[in-house]
Amino acid sequence: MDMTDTAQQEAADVGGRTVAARIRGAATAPLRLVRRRFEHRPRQVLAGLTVAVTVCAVIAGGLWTLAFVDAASRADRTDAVDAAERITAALLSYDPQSVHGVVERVGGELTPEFRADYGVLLSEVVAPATAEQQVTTEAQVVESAFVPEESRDDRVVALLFVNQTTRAGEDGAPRVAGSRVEVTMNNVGSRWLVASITPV
Amino acid sequence: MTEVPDGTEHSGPLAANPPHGAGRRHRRAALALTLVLGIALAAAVAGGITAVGSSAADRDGNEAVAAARQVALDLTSVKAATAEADLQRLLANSTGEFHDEFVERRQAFVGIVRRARVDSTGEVVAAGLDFERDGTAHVLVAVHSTVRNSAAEQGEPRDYRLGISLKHVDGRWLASKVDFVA
Repeated sequence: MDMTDTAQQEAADVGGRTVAARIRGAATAPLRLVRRRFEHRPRQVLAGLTVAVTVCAVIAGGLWTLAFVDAASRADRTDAVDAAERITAALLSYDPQSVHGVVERVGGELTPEFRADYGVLLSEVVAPATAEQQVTTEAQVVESAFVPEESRDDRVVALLFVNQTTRAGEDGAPRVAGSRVEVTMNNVGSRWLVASITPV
Repeated sequence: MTEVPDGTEHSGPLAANPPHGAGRRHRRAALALTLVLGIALAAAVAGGITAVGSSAADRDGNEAVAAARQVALDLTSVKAATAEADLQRLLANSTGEFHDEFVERRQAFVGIVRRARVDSTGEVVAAGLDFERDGTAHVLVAVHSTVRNSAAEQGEPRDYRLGISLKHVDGRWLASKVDFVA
């Protein structure tokens, strides 16, 4: 039993060694070729190596640039969606006193056009209604997402699920209303500004 | 290539250096260049893997959104005449908890839809990616739907806010959980 095992082991070893040697021979053939060439024409080999290094470095640079640009744009859109959440909640939360200060407080985070439009809406529609019914409303963004097909490099569209808790008068019962809004964020000088808020 | 043949190298202008000195310099240069080549090659391969990975992540996210839109549409477009086929379509695009729920309540679902003569037509008004990582994704879908049934013959509009969890299974995104966000 032992004898047979050893014999088989030896046979396998011999076979294995031959195969290994053959593989090693085949694998090192190009190396040996280069070495021979290097002995005869060293400068040609050095020039070839320099070209190979340059090509590899250029390719590596290009690929890493691509990867960094991608990572940066992903970080950017996360920032944009976060900003959309924060600013939308601030724009939709007010009471009869604070409604007049909304644009002053949040205006710096809106594009000039949207700031003007929203200011008119607040002062002409929202503020009078809020004062008349003594309404207090508190907005909360419950879910947020990035809308890929409407977004570009300098523009991100966020889809937000908003819950607005509204209380009319001093002792009015709170009413919760759910809505869905699409918020367009424009990248202006490394900042994300709200360009529009559209209920969908 | 301004290659100097070996013969000239020993007897030409370079002959001032001892031949083995030039050989040593060449060998050092070759060693250094090979080292740098190895580093550049590794950097290129790593860069390639990173770049491919990040563009694949973008594609996965878009595919997850497309799959969630379809599920939202299927879920809100149900008709009495095609109840069985509507259910089959949902089952084919779902997995896990969501799939099991439908399998369990199969009879009840088809029964209710037929008895109430439900005829609902959904429309996706917006869909966005919350996150996508490690073969799972969460997508928000806003759906507008017109529902007709035995109680509302002329149809009433309904708006849904859906949060759909998906799993990447065998190259496809399947819905594993659907939340109606209140």
